[in-house]
Amino acid sequence: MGGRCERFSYPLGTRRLAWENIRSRPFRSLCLMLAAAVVGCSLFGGSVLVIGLERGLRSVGERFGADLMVVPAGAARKAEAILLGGDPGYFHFDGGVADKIARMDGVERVSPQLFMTSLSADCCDALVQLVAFDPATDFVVQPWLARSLGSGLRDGEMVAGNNILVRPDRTVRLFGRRYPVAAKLARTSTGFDTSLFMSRATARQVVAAAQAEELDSPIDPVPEGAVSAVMVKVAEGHTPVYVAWRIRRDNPGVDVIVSQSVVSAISGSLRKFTGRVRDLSCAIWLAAALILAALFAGSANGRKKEFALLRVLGATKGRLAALVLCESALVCAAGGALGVALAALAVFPFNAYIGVKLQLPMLTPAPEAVAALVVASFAATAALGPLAAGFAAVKAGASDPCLTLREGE
Amino acid sequence: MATPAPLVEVKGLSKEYAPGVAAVAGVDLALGAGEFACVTGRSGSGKSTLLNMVAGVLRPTSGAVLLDGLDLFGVSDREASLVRNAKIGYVSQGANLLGGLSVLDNVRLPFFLAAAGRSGDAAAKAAALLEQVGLGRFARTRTRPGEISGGEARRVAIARALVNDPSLVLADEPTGDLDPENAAAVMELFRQIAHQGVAVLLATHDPAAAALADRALRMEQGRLTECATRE
Repeated sequence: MGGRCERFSYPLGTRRLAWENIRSRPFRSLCLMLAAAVVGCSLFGGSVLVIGLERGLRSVGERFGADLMVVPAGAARKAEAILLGGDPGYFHFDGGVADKIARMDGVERVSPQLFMTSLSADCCDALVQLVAFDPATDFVVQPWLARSLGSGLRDGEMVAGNNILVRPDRTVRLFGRRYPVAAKLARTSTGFDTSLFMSRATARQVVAAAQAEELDSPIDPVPEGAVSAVMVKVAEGHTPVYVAWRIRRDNPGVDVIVSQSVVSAISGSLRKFTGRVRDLSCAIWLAAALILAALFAGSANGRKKEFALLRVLGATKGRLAALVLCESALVCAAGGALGVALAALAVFPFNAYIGVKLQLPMLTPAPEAVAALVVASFAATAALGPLAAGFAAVKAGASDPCLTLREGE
Repeated sequence: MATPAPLVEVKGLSKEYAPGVAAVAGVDLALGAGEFACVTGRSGSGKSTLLNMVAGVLRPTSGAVLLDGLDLFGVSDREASLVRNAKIGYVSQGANLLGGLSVLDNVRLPFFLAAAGRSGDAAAKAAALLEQVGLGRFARTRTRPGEISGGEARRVAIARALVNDPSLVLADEPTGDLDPENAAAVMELFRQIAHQGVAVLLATHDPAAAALADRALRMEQGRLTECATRE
């Protein structure tokens, strides 16, 4: 006899009983699980968004590199669009401004940059931003290029932003000529992702190639010695805002972008957004806790006879409470796993799109941060079950055993 | 030679659901191991209330229930629950099986409601009990309670009451909704259980069923009287 019933002889412990209860009420269990899935989804999705945006903001701060960016008057918005939005553009003014600014009190270093664009035509792989820097004075691009490359950039070589499509032979084609790509940068979620970086010497080769092709290129009219921006590092003991004010005062025809202001403007928007996400996640968690508490309490009410029977059969109050808590934890754990998976499917493939839609820089959090968020979101959702079922557990323990015995009276 | 102490002692047991309205009034009863006693009486005479108090699930207004010398209402709820699980098998008016579990799992359920740390799975025991009540075929299937008849469900409930080898089995109207053939089979089962040394206290309003017991007790307006004892 014992041998024949072996295949059904698993222990009927608390977990098994809880699982059998979940299985025997599929609709109720599914509703509870979906409520928990909403929580898991909002916690994980919201956290990934917040951390991704914060990482994006840090990236903007790091990549900006200079305290001030001096551009031609009226070009400040365009410059910000190039840097943050990735909208290719160009403008220039007399490079002599750089020397004048370098001599000003409160200025530690200056380095000019030239912005150009390729063409959206057969001659070029794509319309992208070209950024030429001066290797002798540069303190903005080269430090992070050195981190990526491990060495300096040779003449004729370029470094591609993360979104630039590089040919299989590691070249890009500009104005009919191919240039070797020394490295591709990690994603920054800024305009750098759609930029090609090169020295001024390489930029001259690009201009010459464009002129040789007799193309109606936007870089044609760049006069010798012209620059698009002068990056400024402010000396210690001076405030960037004050130095910017003095540059504007002494150099009519220029505009000054203070990087702190740019970052803090983004940071302000980000704070508002992340605040909203956090509030929403808390509200969803709380609302779900209340809904689940009501559902569990209602369910406990409907199961009075079952609990009463278990009490008659000798289950202690603690055992019944453990059964209810275990059921709620299993349901919420399953819901949490589902919610986290759904959020991952929604957020990771579309994080760039989300960043564009929010008009904020967005980067995928580091793998270890993602792993920590998965664990934390799952745990917070699974914990929601026993928390919400606390009242139901007490109610189950307090079931009147006579309820089941009175049947038929 | 000293008389052995009875297994169950009910002393001056009373229950008032409302002040002055006694459902059970000063009942005394002693039941020894292997005794098969049957309480008859009309509906509302207090039979179920008496059984619930003897089972330790309904607190009396006054009096005591001693099982193996232990006062069921003088110990903690946890201790009383564990004693109930280990020593009392209860067959209630309805079969009261859990619909989410198989018939076999329903039978072995009380085994797992005991204090933690119990080894084994009671599957062989439950299967043997199902065999004993004539339902051995359910030990080998995943049949759910919803798929069996009322008479079969009642016999499953009896098997469940026996899975922890109780010393006392209480049954409230176990033949209430059964046809005469099934009722006779169930009563015969209780006789067999009593012959195995288990004290059986049964409440019924069916005189034919009560006639099969060793001791016939009658409950009227909350008072218990002894009617007959079979030698």
